[in-house]
Amino acid sequence: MIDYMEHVLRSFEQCTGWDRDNSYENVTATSENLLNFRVPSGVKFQVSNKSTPNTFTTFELSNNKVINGSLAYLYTNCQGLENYVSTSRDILLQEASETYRQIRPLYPGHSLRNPGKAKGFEPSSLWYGRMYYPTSTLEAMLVSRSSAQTQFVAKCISSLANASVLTLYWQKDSGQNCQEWIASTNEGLLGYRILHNFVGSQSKLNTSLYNDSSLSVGGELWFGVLNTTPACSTTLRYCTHSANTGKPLTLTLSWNPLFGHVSSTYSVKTSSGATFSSKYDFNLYSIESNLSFGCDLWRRGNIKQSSPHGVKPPSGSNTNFPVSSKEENQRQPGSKEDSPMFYHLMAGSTSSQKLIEDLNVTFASSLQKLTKEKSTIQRFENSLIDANFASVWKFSTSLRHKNLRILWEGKYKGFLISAGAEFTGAPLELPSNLAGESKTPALLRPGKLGIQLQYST
Amino acid sequence: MSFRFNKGAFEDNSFNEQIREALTNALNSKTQSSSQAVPANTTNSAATDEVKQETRGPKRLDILKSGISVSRVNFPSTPQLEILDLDVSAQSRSLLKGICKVSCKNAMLEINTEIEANLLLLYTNDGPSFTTPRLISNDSFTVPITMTFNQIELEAITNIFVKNNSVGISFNDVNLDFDFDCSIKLLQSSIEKRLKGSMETVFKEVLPSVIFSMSQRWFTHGESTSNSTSDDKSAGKQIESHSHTPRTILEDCDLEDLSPANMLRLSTLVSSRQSLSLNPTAMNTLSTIPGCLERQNLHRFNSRIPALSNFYPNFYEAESPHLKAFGRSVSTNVIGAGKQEHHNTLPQRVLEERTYDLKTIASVQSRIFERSSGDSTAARRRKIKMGKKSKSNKTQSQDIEKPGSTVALPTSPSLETLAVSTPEVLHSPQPTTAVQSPELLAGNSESDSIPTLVLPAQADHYTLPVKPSAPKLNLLEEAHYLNRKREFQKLRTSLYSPIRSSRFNSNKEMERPILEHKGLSFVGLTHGLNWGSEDLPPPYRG
Repeated sequence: MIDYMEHVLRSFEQCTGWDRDNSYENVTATSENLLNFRVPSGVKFQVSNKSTPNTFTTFELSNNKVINGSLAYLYTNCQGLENYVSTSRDILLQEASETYRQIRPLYPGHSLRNPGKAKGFEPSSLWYGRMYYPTSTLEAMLVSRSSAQTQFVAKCISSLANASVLTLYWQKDSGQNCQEWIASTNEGLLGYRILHNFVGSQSKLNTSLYNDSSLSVGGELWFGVLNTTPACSTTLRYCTHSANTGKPLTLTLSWNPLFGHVSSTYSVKTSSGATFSSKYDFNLYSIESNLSFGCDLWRRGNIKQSSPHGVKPPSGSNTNFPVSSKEENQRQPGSKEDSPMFYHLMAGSTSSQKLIEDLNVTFASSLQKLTKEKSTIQRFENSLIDANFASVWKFSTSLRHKNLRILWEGKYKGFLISAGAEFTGAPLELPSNLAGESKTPALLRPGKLGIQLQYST
Repeated sequence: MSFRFNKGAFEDNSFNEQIREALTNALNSKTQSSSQAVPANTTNSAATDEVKQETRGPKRLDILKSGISVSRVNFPSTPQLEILDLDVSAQSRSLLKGICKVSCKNAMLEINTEIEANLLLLYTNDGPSFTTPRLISNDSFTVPITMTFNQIELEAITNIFVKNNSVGISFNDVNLDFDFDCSIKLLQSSIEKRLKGSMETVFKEVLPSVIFSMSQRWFTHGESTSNSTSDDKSAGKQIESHSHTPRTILEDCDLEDLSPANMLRLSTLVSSRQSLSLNPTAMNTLSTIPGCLERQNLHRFNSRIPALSNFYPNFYEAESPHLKAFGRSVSTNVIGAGKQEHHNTLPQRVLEERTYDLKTIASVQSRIFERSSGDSTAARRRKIKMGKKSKSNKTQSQDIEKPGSTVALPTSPSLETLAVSTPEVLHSPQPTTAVQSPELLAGNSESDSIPTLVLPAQADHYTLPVKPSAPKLNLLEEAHYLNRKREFQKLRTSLYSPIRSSRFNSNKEMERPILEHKGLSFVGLTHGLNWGSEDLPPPYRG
């Protein structure tokens, strides 16, 4: 379950036209969401409030052996953010929960991420602070959008017990390339990340005329100055739709050349209510491997016609799956350029649209195929958007760690409830060569248990 | 104080096994607090198998991904301990202080563990998640590492303090040398450098604190001392194997562990200091310890001092009923001789019975003169006219008593002597007065009852009764000693009866009187109970 503040932050990014999926940090977000979802521990209760259109507060109480609390404030000068932030009663469950991330392809000449905001960008910023009790730990964050392509993030933690940490991000997203420079005072960590999106172009091998696949390659370099330890990795991501069924799927391949670690993921949304993901890890040096599975199963609730934003009829828009229908509303009156998904055929020229229509006669069969595929995909996506999910079950397991994680998330009377448990096989606290051989786990033991309630107005 | 090594523990392999287990436990308990002291796997292969099953442990900033297992330990030769100095009566805070030299040669040690290859993963996992950027594919693996220490040679001078419930050790002069071999050659030089750098803290802080806490645990939990193999603090342990109670009392097994000869020597030393033991430990010797005179042998010493009374002890015996009228025991004139000088006087009975010998008297007096005259005063001879009835040979003695002292003296009213050579004449109520000893003086005032001296020609009839006194006196002392010992036994059981009332029962004491006596001495020593001063022996009472 996404915290309210995190929800506000994502809404801010949406509002200012920042694509968080275009960052290398989130290059494996889909498989991470499905495999390593966070299981709450203890009891946690969160009340959030949008006091003014620009300020948000959250009060949180958690009972994990001792009662802790935190108080968070957020201020932003972003205009129109209140349209993106929804209360826990109105929010769609697929927005409130981390799930499959649909990556939209990049088309040349089009900044697809912020079609509405492309013309006028207003610099905006966000201030966030949270005080934890009784540990008196303060965490603060500043997100600043200085230009349409850059974002500056500063995060810091100040605590009495531990060392204070300040981390700075400088991110530059030009659509095709997203570069980030990171500096952290924790061990003097310096990092550079880049994600490059290949422009979808016409290819002889591409038999499908309707092409919304996207291919991205990214890499990161890290260096801890204080401990002189380097790290690096590179990742390839490919997102596409299945041509026949229109089901989206994502493949990633990551490689860590320093430590010889290779991991590949395959995630597919088999239906509107089910997603499966698998991940295979392999280490070249130690020949250790791991296989992980994860899935989430959505359950539909009643069709709520009284939804304040309504359910839009299927339009020809290029729908971004996690984007809320509300955003779609705003985009809907927008340009015609949203509608076609075959930019790669036109190379960005709007004038050639006429040419396509002229070609309709000549390539009727191909175009029929195109529209058929397009309609299949769109139908599927619209079914996702329209769906009013009531709850979701998430499962994930890992062969090497011998654990099973279960999470249930749902809406109940305006509350967002997330309850989960983690079962582990081997006792984790024992070192591996001190664990007696007789203790080989025959049964899974519950290692973590928790429930989280969230209410926001 | 005595302790010894159990050599057998070093010779067979069990010593190495013990060290291996102890080291494994110590190393693992240091790395994680929640160690459950499970004995480590013996082989490295088993350890790696388990690592494959479960690598990702709890998040801790620890480069070690598994416990440390000590795979091989070899101490081919017995570690040597040389005691350079031992101070039993050390400061008030410590019971025992000693300086030892520990040396150990040719030892070998092999340690296995696994380390994390990706250090950055550790740091990022450790940091707060809010500010830590997420790294993609930042996984890692563990590397098994084996460290071998060959040819360990250790030589150290240590100060050992045995305190009430612990043992403190400080290392003063440490020479440690070893060959280091690491399975990862890349890390060998840096590890070696760090090891040598941290050796000082090991010997200055880690080892003393470990030994201190370990000894504290031993003392307070009262473990049996049977497994005291390698430690130089076995002596301290045996002294204080029970510290639940503040007082320490030796067990029987402790006494068995101690060297009997040393215990005997110690007990005689202590008992002689207590002035309780009136039992002469060795017959016919002045002192068991050369150069020091023990109190119970003082009478023997006194009996050899040349004085007239020593030559006629039989006559003093005969006067004992007379002394008892003053409330004194028979042996007073011998035991109490520590305070009472032997008087250079002849008993009255000798004079009455005319059993003296002029030659003996002359030799005695001349010996007294020879011993005492450091100054060059010439001996004044006095001519004695024979045949005169009114003249008698007076025996004089030196009077060093205070006038008011009530020292029992053989009252010889017949002897009226005058102090001549002393500058001031002391007139004591007793009829005897001492005269500067070397002189043979004739008394000025003589009573009629004094018999005349027998001429030397008559002295041949008399044998000198010097020696027969000793055995007889010993018998008397034995009787008194036994009486007093029973009193002490009563006192002690009343003191310690809640703890070990059965230990000092009488039949046991009768079985092993020497050991019991020894134990008594130790109790007195360790607690500073002054038995002698609190409980005066009967001769001093009244």
